Amino acid sequence: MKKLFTLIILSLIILSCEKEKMPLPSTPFNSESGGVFISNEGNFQSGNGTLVYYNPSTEAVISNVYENTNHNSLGDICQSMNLINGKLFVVVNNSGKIEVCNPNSLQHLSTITGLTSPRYIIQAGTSKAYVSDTYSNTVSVINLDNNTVTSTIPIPGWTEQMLKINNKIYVTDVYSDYLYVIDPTNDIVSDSIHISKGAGWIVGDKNGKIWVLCGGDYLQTYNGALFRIDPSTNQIELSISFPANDFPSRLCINGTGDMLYYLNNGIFRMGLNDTSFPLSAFIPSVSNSFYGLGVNPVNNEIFVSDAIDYIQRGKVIRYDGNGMQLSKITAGIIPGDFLFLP
Amino acid sequence: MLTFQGIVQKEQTLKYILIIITLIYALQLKAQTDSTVLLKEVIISSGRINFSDGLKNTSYDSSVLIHYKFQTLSELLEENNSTYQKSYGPGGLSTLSLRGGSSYQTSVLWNGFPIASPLNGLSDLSLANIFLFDNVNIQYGGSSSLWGSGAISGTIHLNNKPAFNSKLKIIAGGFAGSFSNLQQIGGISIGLDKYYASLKIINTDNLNNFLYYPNNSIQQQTQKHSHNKQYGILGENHFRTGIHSLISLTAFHSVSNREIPPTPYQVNSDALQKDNNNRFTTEYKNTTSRNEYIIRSAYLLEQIAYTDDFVLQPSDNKSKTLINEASWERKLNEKHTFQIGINNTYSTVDSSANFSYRSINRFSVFTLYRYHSSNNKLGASTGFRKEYSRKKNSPFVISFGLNYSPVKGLELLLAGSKVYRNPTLNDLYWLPGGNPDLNPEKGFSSEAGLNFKVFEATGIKKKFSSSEILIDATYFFRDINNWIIWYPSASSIWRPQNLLTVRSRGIESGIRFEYSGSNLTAGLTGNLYYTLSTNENTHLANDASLHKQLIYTPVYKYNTGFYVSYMSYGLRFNHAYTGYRYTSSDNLYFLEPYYIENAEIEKTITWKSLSARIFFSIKNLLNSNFESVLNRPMPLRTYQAGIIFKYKK
Repeated sequence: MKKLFTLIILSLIILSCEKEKMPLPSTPFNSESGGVFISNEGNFQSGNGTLVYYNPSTEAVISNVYENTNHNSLGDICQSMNLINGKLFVVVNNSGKIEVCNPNSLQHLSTITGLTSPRYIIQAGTSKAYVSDTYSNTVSVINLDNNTVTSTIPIPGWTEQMLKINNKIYVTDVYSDYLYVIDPTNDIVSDSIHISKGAGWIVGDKNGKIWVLCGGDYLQTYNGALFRIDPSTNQIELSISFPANDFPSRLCINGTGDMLYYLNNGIFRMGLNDTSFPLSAFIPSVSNSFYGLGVNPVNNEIFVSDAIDYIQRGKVIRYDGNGMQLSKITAGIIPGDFLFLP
Repeated sequence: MLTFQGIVQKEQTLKYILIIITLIYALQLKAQTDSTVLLKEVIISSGRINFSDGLKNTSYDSSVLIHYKFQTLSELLEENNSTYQKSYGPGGLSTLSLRGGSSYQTSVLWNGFPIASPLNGLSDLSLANIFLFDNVNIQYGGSSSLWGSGAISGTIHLNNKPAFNSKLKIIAGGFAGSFSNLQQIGGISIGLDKYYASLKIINTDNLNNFLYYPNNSIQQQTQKHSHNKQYGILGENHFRTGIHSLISLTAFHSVSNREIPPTPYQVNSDALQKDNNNRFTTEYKNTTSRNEYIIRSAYLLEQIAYTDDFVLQPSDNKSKTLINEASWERKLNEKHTFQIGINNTYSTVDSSANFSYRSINRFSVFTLYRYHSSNNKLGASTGFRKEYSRKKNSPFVISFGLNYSPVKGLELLLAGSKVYRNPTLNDLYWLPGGNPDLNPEKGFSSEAGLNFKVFEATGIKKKFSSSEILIDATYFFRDINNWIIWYPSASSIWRPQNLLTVRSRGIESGIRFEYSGSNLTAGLTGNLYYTLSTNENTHLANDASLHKQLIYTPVYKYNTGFYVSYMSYGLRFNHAYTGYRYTSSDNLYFLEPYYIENAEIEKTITWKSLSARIFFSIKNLLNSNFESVLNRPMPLRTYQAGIIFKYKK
């Protein structure tokens, strides 16, 4: 009996040990030129979206940098980032908000609220931005002077990435077959271009052409497809379909605007004049878990995230322009978007 | 906030309902004829549980359940057991993990029929109101040969049993708790020589606008959009149709309407969930001294409807399950018993949002054998089951178990079993991603334990008139292969796949002291649980989850409690600790441990055949701010009070 009681007491002592928490940094955060912010979505409804800061030249990684600087969690599903008028905009999808920060200190400046399920933010005018949305069937218009929603532009479906070119905003839409064109002077949809289902990614090349990547739909009624569009006529110049069972994503372009990159299990790249997709991956994926993709516009370094099992801290792998691995770092849960500081 | 006004109003309605029910029963009683008692008391729950030698078993009878009449299975288990409840808040979804297994690996059975949804394989414990059941039994460890798919880490049995000759019993009660939590219960039962009938009703309305500290900030917040309403009706009829035969009919209807609250990081939530369950069972049992034949059926209808104005895509999921089972138990002699049975389970589902009509038909054969020595020192059992379907066939499973009592008061247990779990219909057919080629999860579960009872005769007698100390300890070990998880496939679509191998092992230990005098009864308990459940396989390049503890599986858990009952007064206190639970598979993120203290005082007033039990309780006495699921806050201190009237003729 005595032994049993001793065992119980010992067990209680063992389980009263405390776990170590992640240490808080002793010096205030300061980003450097050439640094990279990595947004980590976190798990749906878990509120564990985070920002990781990475300096490729020193290999320094700072986790939870927003939380540590502002003593407040970022929110639920940290979707994307953008630099507008020298400020960092962090879109927090399932918290229905955008956090506006100083990109150098990451000090919080203001919060844009009144959004349903924001995805991406893009500058539409000197003091105007547009925000795409999963559920609201609108694109929200933001006044950048006071960071408030001033109006909405009705667009049916799940609007995703946007591109500004020739003073027009091109808006991708996952659910509809159309690419929408907004006139930012009047905040109205001025045109729409019939493409395909699952459009989510859009870039502009050095020739002033638009490239749109459609992921297809999960029912496989539509295959994935890539379109090249001339913004002066809004006509499709090139359309290439992916084979069935391919689900391409994350279209990016390098800094010089002459090489396209996308994920299709591995990382693929193709030139602007290619009329068919490359047969094999530029950088193959070992376990199908590549999730986010970014290309540093300054040096063409490729950043890909590996979400691993989606419930642990993912990895970010950095390659040079020739596909040679340079480094691998640990980011947050589901690393999704990269922002390269000029 | 305590308000009794609502109770009074609803009790008026309840009173009329009870009068009507009484009249109906009175008419039925007229049809009964006088006879002498010819049959021994028979329990409706299957005798199959007798073939589980060697497995740890915890049973909660009416003396324990009386304290949980206004609680759900989730709350009963949280306070008393080694299980970990993943609760999304009061009234919200609550699923359980037993011995490091997943929520899908514990089978919840009502009168021997599994009631997990065929769609998602889950049993929501927050929908099981304790008041409706007579007995709750937790059987730990693998027992797939007895109960089929899903009985991997344990089975939970919710039973209703007839009490013949118990005459007329009426129960009615009301309850009010903090945050506008109101409940009413009512029940009537009639037990004659040849007929037993019971009807129970429960109604719950919980506004649930409780306070909490979000993310450990110092500013309190009020929970929003968390109102839930539930009601349930359970009726039973049991007929002794002959010297040896018994026919039982039961019906169980329950409806729950829940608002799904936003997390602290969501601006708003408009999500609503409605659960509508209708369950019917019939059983014919013929028992003689040597043979027992049982033919039984269950028809289970379930509906889960979910709407969310933001998402704009409501889902309405309906399932129907028909279970037919026949078994024959033969007592070869006093020592040897043999049972053979066949089971057919046919499920159809219709999910408006994700797939249209689908069905699955499973057929299984099982045989069980038990040896029981005449001096009661040795019990041994073994079982076999094979299930067939057009899908991937489930493995042939075998189990064995041993109870051995070398000296009086000491019982040694040993058990081992092959176990399996079939993929759910969501796993097979969900669009997009459903994987019709999934294999069942399968593995081997084993345990060794002891129960040691120190009787009066062993030396305690000098101090106490009637007291005992009981000690129990169990070591368990389990490997599960083909563990199903949803993971992006080569085409990026999330798809269920047989990817993980999970090893679970641990120790459960407990000590219980009980005293019983003429006016005073008292007890003291302590239980300690240690569970390691780790991922032992990876298919991923950068995986840091290998050999790490599964998420939401506490390594340490303990609870202690005492009760004192003097004359008509009672006092209960319970203290439970739940250790760190990881929220990321690399074990870098976790939820802080928490302690919960609950206290209850009660007074029972008896007047002739009528008794009234009045109680007042405080949950989370020390105002612990805790979460069992990340960013799903739980209430701080809450107060509850209630009264239960009982009439027994």
